[in-house]
Amino acid sequence: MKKRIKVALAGNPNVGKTALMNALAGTNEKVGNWPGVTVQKKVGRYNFRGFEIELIDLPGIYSLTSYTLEERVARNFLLKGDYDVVADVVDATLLGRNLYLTLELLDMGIKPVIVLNKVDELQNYGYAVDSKLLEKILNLPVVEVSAVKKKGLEELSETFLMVATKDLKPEGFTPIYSEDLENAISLVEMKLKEELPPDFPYNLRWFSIKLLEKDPEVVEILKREFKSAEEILKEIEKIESEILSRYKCDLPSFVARERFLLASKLAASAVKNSVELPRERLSDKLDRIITNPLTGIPVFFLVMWLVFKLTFELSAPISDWIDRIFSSYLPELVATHLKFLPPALVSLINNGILAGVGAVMVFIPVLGILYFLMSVLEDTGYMARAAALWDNFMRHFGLSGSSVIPMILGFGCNVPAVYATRAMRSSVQKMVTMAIIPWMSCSARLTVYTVFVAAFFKNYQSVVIFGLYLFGVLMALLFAFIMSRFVKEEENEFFIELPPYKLPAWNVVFNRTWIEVREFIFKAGTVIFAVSVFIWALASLPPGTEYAGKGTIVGKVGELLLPLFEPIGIYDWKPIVALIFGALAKEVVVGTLGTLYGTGESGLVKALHSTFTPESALAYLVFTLLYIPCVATIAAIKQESGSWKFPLGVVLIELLVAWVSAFTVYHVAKLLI
Amino acid sequence: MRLVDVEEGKSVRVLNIQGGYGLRNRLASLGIFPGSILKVVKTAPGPFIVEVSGSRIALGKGMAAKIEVEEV
Repeated sequence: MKKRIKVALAGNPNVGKTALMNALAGTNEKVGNWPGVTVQKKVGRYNFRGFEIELIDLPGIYSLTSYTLEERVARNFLLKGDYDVVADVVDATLLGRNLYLTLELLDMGIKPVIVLNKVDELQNYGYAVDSKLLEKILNLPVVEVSAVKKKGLEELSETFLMVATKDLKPEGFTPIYSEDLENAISLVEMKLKEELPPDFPYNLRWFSIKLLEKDPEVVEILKREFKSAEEILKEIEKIESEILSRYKCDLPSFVARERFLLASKLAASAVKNSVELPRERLSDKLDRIITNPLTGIPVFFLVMWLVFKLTFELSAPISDWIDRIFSSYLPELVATHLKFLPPALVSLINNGILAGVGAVMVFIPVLGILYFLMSVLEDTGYMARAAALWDNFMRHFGLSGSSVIPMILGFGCNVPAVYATRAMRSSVQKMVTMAIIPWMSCSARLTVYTVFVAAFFKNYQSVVIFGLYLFGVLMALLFAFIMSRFVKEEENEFFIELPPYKLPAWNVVFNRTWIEVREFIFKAGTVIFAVSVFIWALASLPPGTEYAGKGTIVGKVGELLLPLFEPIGIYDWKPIVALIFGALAKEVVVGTLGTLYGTGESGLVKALHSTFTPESALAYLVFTLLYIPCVATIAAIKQESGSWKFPLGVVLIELLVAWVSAFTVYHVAKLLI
Repeated sequence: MRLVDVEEGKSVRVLNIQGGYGLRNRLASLGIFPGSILKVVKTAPGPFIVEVSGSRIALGKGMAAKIEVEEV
């Protein structure tokens, strides 16, 4: 058996951890969630000299406090110690800021391997890092790499190996801060030592520093484990008032500042030609244009329009082709060549299995292209600017700038929109955004609108369709607003680092896209497939009934639900069955109606007139807009939230809201028309 | 003076940041803490952008209103 080496990758956001993972492990990667939370966990594997190296990507963080979910996840992982090596990925072009995290690791007693990334970029600016000097100062192994150009990787893997097998024991430098801070640390350390529990699992110096930083989790542990907790906290208050009078700075900020100053000093001594990096005036000019609402909003819509245009123009022929294969070519082949099979089995293959596989496959082109374009936007640095641009507006609804892109993507297809919430930092906002994405009217729903609008609102087609889109957005924002009254986040002030503009690293973008599509096929795909077969069974049983006819289970369920739909003007079970099938994919609603009325899609307009009035047609459209997300979206929400409870809750709420809205629209329309 | 009142292109020194420890601690890890120097790259409308130790940070209006500064 191969010996496995676990390497935890720590580092700031935008330092190139993803690129490093890609360079080392390629697409051999598993994506999941950290236990119990919505933070994404990526684990990559590769073989090196007979060892299997497992890379565990920690969330991108600037520090190791317990204030944000990402930081807590990373910190708890590091405290638990279930790894052989910690690799601290450092951006050489922002060495000072990046060493802040390094100092935090050292404070914790962790001796990381320093992965000095983007050295080549620094050289382009005309600067160089003396990595040997840095190695000496930090007393840690330092390896220069370029993740994008795949340089220095061999040496890096070798260093991992040497540290894991204890051939190399990094000593690590103990960060020594100013006299005032050091005195405070030793004072707290002394107090703690007086009644230290015998198997105290934390590094004492780190624990003391975190107490001075008033870290909520550490204060909690203190209160639990130490009888003299109150006394120690009082002592810290005394230290704070001294610091406050001398430095005009509260204690936690003082500690952070000391660490930042030390990190900057270390960086300055290791960077040759240590002048400030050149100010990129061009990028500042560009930032002023694209983050100013007057110019930035048009740019934003232009970019989004391009993304949509490209996605749907490129994917439509492929999706159509896949759809044809699974909905007519293969079923016909089955029907003609497998005649000897019992009809129920043919139906299972055609309406169950092939329809199910097809439902998964048609999403792949859209998802792949949209995901690809999104990673390009992310990689070039545009995404962070777009989030900054929209922040002021979204704040009114308890959301932040980072919810805008997932919401806009929802108009194309809700599935990639749900996956796009990964880029969001706040987990509460992420959950709310996922819950409202289904109300962004996706392109599949447009097919339903088109048929009904052509039948009932010939003279107001675009007004009605635009109205539906707008209604969805308003409901979404209203829902977010109401949610924000219930769940309060303590610190929701917005700030985001704007990474430098750059060309995307194509091999990273391609590999990421493939990994995500593969995850979709295996995780969401299985759910979609299972539900498709399940609905097929409901539409075929009991045996001997016509597929999806009145006598089948769905037909009976449709009739059973009829009393619920009568108040919104629907007196026939067929449109209800169409809605049930619409749960597979919204565009199925039209096809199902065609089958049930025996008209096909072409004669449908006439048939609808016998069932619907304009008022009930409008109510039906509103219901179609708002009721449950399609199976693929539900599967995506399940995958992202890590539990079934959340997507099921979303389904319930949305059914309820859809009914109330349809009811209101129906009765208001009856008064007006 | 607050950061929201500063003109574009000016450099300022941070005097104080209102807000909880969590907010201040996270800002400090980006280099924004009492005593640090910020260069204001962009002001309203839209987000504020400051340059601090080589990187650019965009701040919401509410955030910028909580940072007390003086010109240098």
